[in-house]
Amino acid sequence: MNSTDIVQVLVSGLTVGSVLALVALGYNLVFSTTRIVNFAQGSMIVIAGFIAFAMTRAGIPIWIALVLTVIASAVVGVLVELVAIRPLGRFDPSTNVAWILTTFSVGLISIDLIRITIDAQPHPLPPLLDSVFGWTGSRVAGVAITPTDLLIIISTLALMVGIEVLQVRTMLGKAFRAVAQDRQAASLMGINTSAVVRMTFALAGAVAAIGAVLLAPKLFVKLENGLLLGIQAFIAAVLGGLGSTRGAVVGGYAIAFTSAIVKSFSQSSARYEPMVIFALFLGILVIRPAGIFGTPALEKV
Amino acid sequence: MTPEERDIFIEGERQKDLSRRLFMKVGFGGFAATAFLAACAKGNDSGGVSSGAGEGGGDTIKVGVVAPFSGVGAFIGTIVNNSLNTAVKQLNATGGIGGRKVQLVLRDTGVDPANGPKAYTELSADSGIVGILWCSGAGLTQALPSIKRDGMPLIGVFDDLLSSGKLYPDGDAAGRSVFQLIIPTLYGMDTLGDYAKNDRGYSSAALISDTSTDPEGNTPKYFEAAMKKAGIENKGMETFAITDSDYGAQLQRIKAAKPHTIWIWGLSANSAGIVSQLFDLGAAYVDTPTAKAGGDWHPHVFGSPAGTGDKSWVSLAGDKAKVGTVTAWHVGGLISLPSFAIAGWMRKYIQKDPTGGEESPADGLAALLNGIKKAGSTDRAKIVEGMETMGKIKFASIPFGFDAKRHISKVPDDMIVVTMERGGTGPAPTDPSYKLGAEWGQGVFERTPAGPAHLVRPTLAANKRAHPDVMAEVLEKGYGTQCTKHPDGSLGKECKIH
Repeated sequence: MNSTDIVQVLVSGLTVGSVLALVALGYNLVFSTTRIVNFAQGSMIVIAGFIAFAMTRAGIPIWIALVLTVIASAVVGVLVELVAIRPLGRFDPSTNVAWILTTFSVGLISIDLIRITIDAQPHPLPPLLDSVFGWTGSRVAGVAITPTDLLIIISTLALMVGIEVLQVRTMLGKAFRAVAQDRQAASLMGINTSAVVRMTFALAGAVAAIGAVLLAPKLFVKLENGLLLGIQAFIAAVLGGLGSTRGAVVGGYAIAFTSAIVKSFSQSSARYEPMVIFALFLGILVIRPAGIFGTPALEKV
Repeated sequence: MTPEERDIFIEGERQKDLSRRLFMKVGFGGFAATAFLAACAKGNDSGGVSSGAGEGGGDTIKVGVVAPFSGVGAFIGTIVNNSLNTAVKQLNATGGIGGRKVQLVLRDTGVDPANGPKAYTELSADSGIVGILWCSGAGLTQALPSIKRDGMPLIGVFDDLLSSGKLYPDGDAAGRSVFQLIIPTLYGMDTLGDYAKNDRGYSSAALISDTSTDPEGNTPKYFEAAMKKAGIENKGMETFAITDSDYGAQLQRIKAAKPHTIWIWGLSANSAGIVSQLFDLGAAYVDTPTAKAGGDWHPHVFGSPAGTGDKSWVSLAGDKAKVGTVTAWHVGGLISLPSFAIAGWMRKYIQKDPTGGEESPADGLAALLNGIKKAGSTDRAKIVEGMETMGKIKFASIPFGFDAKRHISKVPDDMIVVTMERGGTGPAPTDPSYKLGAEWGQGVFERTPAGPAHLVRPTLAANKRAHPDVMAEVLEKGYGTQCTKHPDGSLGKECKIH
């Protein structure tokens, strides 16, 4: 490997890893409170992308569109909870797995609704940053680094820190954790558990909106992102340890760096890159079944 | 209904040989068939029956349609739906063929190749199904042995069997009952190779291709063969997956080899992503002399019809999409020409603009119905024979046909070379000055600032042979031919450099 290869692996690993981490953070937000994996998370990214696209096409500047999309997508998150989770009533997610079907179904139906009512074409979004104080991009050892790349990486790390602070240092975060540990006890302590769950889905929607707008310069706004990105990010979240915010980010980077290394060695990387990634996935889960940062569930007997 | 509209519908050149009764019997497309398609688009997988009074009412002709209506290829399902929806509305509006109703039975394969054989088994178990339109549904290769065994009339609408040697009579895998509508990748690569070498003077090329839509790995083989045939040095072949957003490692290796041209073979979003990253690398295309000069690497981008041939890629890549990107298409794909019926029908019946490819499912349906019409029967063997002997037909785009020795609707003479141009800022200045084709002024591409300009060389003579009327219109009205047209009307090479 020469210096160009090494820099390329670093840049590719960090940017693609951040892309995956951004989506994985949404999975974790919901799981850490409800013990439910929201399989509609990928679709929420698509919905947010189409909302942002509609706004920018209407002439709304991208930064304002981002803010409005975050709000709209938070509402979408609440709606997902309303449709996919609320009707299930009180249930134990570990034994009643109807949520798998309901969240997955809501995701698929949303994508089909967009396909039928809007279109199935990919669409562009303007980048949030064209330049930073006149800097429009550089090449380090022949490898391109753009303001968009940096923005994705910094935003992902900032979101990770922000969510961790929210979960650990705030009353709301404590409420999240209380609901996750024992919903009935939390309710007896005066916590409005339904509102907390709703809030979690709203936050997941907001994160999806940030992800959709940040990722658009690389992945565009397209229906396929829901499934493809959703699966990859789910793997990242499980790899890092479901429920762990930093785990989601590390999981994303683990997959992306593995992919970048495989690509740097082989012209036919696309043919066996998934195999290598799944081997890594399997290997880590054999050693740490709960994921890199996951904590095994202990059962008192 | 004008006489012209009447002529549009399945205008068999040998129509006069057919009895009016038979003509009226076949393909009575109707409202219910349209409704059926709409219902299928919402998730149903089998369908209703068209309405329409007429002789022999109650009889139906059932045609199977296999396509990816869900999953990553669902955009193809949308094209198929729009096309067939429009086609049956047009059939109905023009009085249909009378008597017999058309029932389309849809099967969704998603992305799983295992669904192809399953879809075929379900359709073939229905004795009423007289033929199948296979519109890029996953698993055709796996279903071929059963199709061959059953002798099921089948049209590969978006499936390239010829390039991989599976199409009858050159290959035997598909059997005699299978026909192909789409242009073969081999023709496209050969045409582009010839153009790159002989018109632009390029001597080297590298490929970056999608493995997700080419699981059998055929694209690199076709590329190698085309480069060898054209006498162009192959400087490397890279791959990517449809899910990729980063092509850094692959582009670094290609950059090190510095080929004059880079061939991007994938869908529009990936093509846009690769072109954007070429721009970020400082390797955007400038012009032909710069691409050939070496030094700083500025390769000329050659793309696949489904990638840089899809006008949406330019709006995705934005300013990073450079004027002059080349792809190959076939004359029938020039849906902007007013004489091609499908675009007008779509605007009329479903209030949508074509996005590309809509002519093909409609033409496939027409071919199958004409085979039945010619056969005068729904016997499978007779339908196949009917399609082989029906001569040229015209429905959604240009006249086409099959014969006993040619189960592919296109011929190499159909191929054209297309450059994608940007609206607004217009093309790069050239001498003689470049004037955009008339299609720009007609708002045909109003939904996007991108659209094709058609370079009819190096196959102008061949195009004229294959489609004299169409090419006369292209040249007379100036649809994108200005770039290759001198003031005296002759065509020259120099204005291609833009």
